[in-house]
Amino acid sequence: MLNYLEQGWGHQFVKAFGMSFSIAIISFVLSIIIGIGATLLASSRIRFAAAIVKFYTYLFRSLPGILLLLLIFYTADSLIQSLVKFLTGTSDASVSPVVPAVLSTSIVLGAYATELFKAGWADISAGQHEAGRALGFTRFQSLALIILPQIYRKVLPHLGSLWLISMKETALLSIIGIPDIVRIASLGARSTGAPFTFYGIAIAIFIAFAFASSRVFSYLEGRSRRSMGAI
Amino acid sequence: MPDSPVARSVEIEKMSKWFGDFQVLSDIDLSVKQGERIVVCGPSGSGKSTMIRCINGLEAFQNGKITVNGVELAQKSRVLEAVRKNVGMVFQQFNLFPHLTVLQNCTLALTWVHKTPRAEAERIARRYLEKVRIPEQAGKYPGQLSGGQQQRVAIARSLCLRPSVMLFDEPTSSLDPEMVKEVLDTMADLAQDGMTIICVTHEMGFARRIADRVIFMDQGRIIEEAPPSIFFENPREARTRRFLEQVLH
Amino acid sequence: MELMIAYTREILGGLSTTLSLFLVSLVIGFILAAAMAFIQIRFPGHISKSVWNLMFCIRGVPMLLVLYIIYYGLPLLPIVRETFLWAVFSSPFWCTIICLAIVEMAFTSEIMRGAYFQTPKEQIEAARSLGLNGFQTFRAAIFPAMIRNGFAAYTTEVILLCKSTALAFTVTVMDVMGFANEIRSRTLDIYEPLLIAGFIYLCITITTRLALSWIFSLISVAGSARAEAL
Repeated sequence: MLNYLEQGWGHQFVKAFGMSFSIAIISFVLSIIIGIGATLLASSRIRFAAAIVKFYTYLFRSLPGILLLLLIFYTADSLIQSLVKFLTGTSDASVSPVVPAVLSTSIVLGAYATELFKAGWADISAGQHEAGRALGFTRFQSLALIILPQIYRKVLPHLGSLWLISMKETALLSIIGIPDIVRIASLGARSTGAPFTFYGIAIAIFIAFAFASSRVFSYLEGRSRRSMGAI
Repeated sequence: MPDSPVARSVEIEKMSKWFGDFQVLSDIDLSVKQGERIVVCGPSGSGKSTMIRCINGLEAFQNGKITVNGVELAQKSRVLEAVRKNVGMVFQQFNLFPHLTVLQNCTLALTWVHKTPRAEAERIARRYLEKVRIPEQAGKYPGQLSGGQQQRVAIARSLCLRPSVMLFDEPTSSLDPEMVKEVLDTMADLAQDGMTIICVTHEMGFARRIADRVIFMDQGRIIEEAPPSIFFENPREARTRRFLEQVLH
Repeated sequence: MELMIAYTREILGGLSTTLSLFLVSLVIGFILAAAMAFIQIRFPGHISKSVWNLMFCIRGVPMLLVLYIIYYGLPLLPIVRETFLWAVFSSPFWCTIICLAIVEMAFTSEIMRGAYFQTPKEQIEAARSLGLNGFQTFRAAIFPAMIRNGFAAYTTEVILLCKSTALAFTVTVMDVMGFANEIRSRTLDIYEPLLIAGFIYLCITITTRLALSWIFSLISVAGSARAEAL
């Protein structure tokens, strides 16, 4: 195993981890933004907004991730290409496939995030909204100061699993050709004929990452529990 | 059932219990004759619930001994199952099985533990549902009943096994005030029929009405025991007096 | 339009493969999960902890990697290639089933374990005080509570499993996604085959949700069928 790592594969794996990790973290953040936005939209007074949000989450939780990724990836890719062409006026401008890849994972994960935040929102009693208004806060203030901190505490354990899902979701991007951990492992396995070593390394990276993440999230949970008082 | 010469139903001798380093019960001595009605009261954390939960083995104890109908309690499943056949228990939270109907709640232990044929078990169950005055609810699920009705089903469920002792662990504490009476009346009926009853409760009016003896516990000890006339009119201990002052108003 | 019908017909050719991947791995996964949950509940301490850690590791690894190491890695082992196991591991279909079942085991065993420990203590005490023995207490109090606590999570998990079957095409299994992908690379039409496949998956997941909620209504509170079984 060590001599493979010395033949440059170690370097490849480090780069691939960077790729997977950064795609995961950007998608994770974007999906949370989508989740919060969709939750606010669903609880707003805009007509059909709730129905549209429901349709989005239902559809995205019912279709295979890889299928959605392919669909969104190709749509986003061609949209971005034509946008770039329109803006620069040249026809040979190319955008890295990473951008549509990140977009597609974000939209897929956004459906899960929306479910989380909607459940958290539903858990906040009507009394809290009313108390905020009764104390004279504006709608935005009451949202930022009263509602969101409570939702944060409620969804934090679930955000932990959403984060793990984000990281695992990047594996699917290897099918589109993004050089993530799985892609590098596959390339290595094929070119050296040692699939056990290469897939084993990839699996070990994910397991180490999962343990590290669960540490971080249980620390965050402990901190939020202390700061809010145990209920 | 083995009738000991003095017809002792429950005999607790020098029983002590610890949760870790904390002693919850110290040297409890209590002897209950058949047909006797005991009310146990005391401030919260006094160990009264723990004590009656020891009697049917839901809690283990470390020192002393408990004898129920001549059988000495031990944390062995055969002994526990034998003792529990004779001891009915009613909980504060009713603890009915939500996925079973009222009738099925009542027949469950009859058919599974006592191997009573189904038709016979249903006949017995209906008889006791009639006794607690809710025969018409037999086909409903617990979630469809009020708290008072649920508690009466729980009493019927225990009675179906024809226990010789009934334990009540604060049976009215989680009920709305207007439902307390129907449950207390059911329990008073039982007392009338000569059932041995050990009841943890704060309902002092009930204690006055049906108890043969009232027991006051504090900090894991039995502080005072006396017939209700003496207990309420002329308590011996200062702690008892303080407690009574608090609960009677 | 004619093209769509032709594509649909071709993609539907993979339906039976998708359904068998789904249902066979569902059953195997459930049995394995029950076994793992049982071990964790029955043997507290080191055994329970190490099984939990193993399940945690599997949950942390992308399914694609599990699939690749089973399909590309295991055949290199002499014990796999030179025994009856080869019959299983030489088939991409069975490799996918094993992979799906393992992942399903890791997630479902955690749902079962969680549901078991969420059983209200009071329900167990009520059963015990009626004189029920250990197994009877499980049947009367714990199992129904597990169904109440865990069924929603299990439904989500079953849907996830159903969606995961779509990864089978990466190891050359010709399921719904496999045919859709084949059309995509043959004709360079992206949207038509993927949308048709998506519609088929939607039908499967909707049916699955309906079937599960029907099963739940049979065995939970309101079900009179459950009452007869007692």
